[in-house]
Amino acid sequence: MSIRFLKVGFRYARGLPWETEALKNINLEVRKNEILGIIGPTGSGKTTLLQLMNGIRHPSEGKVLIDDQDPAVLKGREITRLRQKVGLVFQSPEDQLFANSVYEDIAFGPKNLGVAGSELDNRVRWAMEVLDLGFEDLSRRRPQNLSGGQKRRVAIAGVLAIKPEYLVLDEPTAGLDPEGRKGLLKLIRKLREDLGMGVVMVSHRLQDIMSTCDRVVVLEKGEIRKTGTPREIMRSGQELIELGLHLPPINMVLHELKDVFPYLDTAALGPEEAAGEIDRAIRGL
Amino acid sequence: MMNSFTFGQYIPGISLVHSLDPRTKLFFVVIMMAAIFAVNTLPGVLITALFTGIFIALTRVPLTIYFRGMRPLMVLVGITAAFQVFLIPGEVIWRWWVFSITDTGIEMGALMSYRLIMVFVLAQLLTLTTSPLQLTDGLEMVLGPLTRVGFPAHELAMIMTIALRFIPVFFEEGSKIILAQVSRGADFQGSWLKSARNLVAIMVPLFAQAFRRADDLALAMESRCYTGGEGRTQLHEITMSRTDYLVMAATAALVPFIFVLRT
Repeated sequence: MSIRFLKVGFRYARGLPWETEALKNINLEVRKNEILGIIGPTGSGKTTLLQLMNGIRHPSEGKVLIDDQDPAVLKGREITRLRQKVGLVFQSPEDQLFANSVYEDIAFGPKNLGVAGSELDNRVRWAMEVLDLGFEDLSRRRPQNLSGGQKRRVAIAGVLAIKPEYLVLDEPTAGLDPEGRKGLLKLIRKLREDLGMGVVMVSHRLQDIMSTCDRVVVLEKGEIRKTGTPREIMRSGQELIELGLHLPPINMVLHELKDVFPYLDTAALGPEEAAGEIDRAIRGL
Repeated sequence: MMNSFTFGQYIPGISLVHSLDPRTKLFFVVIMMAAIFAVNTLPGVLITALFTGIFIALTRVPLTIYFRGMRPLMVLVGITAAFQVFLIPGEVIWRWWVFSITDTGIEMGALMSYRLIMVFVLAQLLTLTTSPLQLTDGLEMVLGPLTRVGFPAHELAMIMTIALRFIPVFFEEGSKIILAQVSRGADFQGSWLKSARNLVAIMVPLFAQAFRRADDLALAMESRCYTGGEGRTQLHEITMSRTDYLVMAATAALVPFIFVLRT
């Protein structure tokens, strides 16, 4: 069971002077029980790639299959049911909150899918619990009056409440304070570990991607430039810098030190590993 | 600009129409719109259509772009035409139950459809070939003399530019919110009642964002010391060329014809 991209291409504004090719020849598989990270410079097609994953956009070329079903040929109830498998959290999802209470906003998705009564109540409670939102404190509050980090979590809870099998997040940590960011990344790992979900996340912050994901895809100008584990990707630091991506500070230090210690491994994940690597290099091991 | 929204967009180009002074284009569009609403005979329709057609050809903007944004308008055209066709008295040529179609009705229906479509096309012609900045400058200069009697020409032009500038932004934000709510299972194809209820989920965030954006824009303008039009000079002054005067003269020459071609 997986989301598969088969030779997928996508164009915006077809037939207009500002037609742009956002994606070309994408072959990719998103598996369950895996966190996939997508990185790439601005305009490389990351968001478009995400929007193809649950069938709200259809590819101009090729096919996207969600658990072997093609959303482009489905209609009505069937497409809604297929979309329910893939929860999509847009960039700044808190901008889409609209209801008068947190409860109502989170219940919007499941209600659309026909969930009602005690099952609806359970879903909302469950989603709020997973996202560390106290039900008693917050469910009656107006979303507009919450803090930025809380709003973001309410919005994600709204998607989680439809019980998707895959969760796709576009820049989930953007604009959050360090505390909020850490909490959210922990949650993403929890979703994979406890619920066996397939998670896809896009981020500008390589640090977030490297510390959270099992596999990373590098996009450039709508094409997949590289795929690999975080460590494999970090080993090609120079390439990432050329793409205009900012390495995590610790890898930047290792990268600079490589001029002095040519055998230094720049792919360390986290400061402890990096410290060990520098220590090894200085001792000439 | 990644969206497929064309109405009110500017498409940069080097055609003759692109290079005309915005005042010339405004003059042309206003005269043509008046002409199109004034004429009510077949020769009149043909002449105004020909004149606009030549101008459209000179813009070198693909014809498909003119008609692309027209689908919503066609609903209005359809309703208007239907009213004309069924309700205007005249010689009955077809009758069924309480409905009857008259010859005058068909004529008026066709004429009204022609007028609505042409107004749309002319508005497109103006915005497709004139950058919002030029358009504002032109409008401000045309309305300039009225400032002496207290008419806020600059402010009006500024409001118009901002409105034009933000149509695509508003549209893009709207479609993003729609996508987000659709991916949460919102259904806009189903029953009418359900769609209306789901509309709230789009309108509330869309307006919240629009107000936030307006606030930001006001702050940004104030922090750059914007105080209104008085004493403001321009970096690129617009000037009329010989071609401009020629086009204006040709447009003006059309006016007597319009009176002749009315019945």
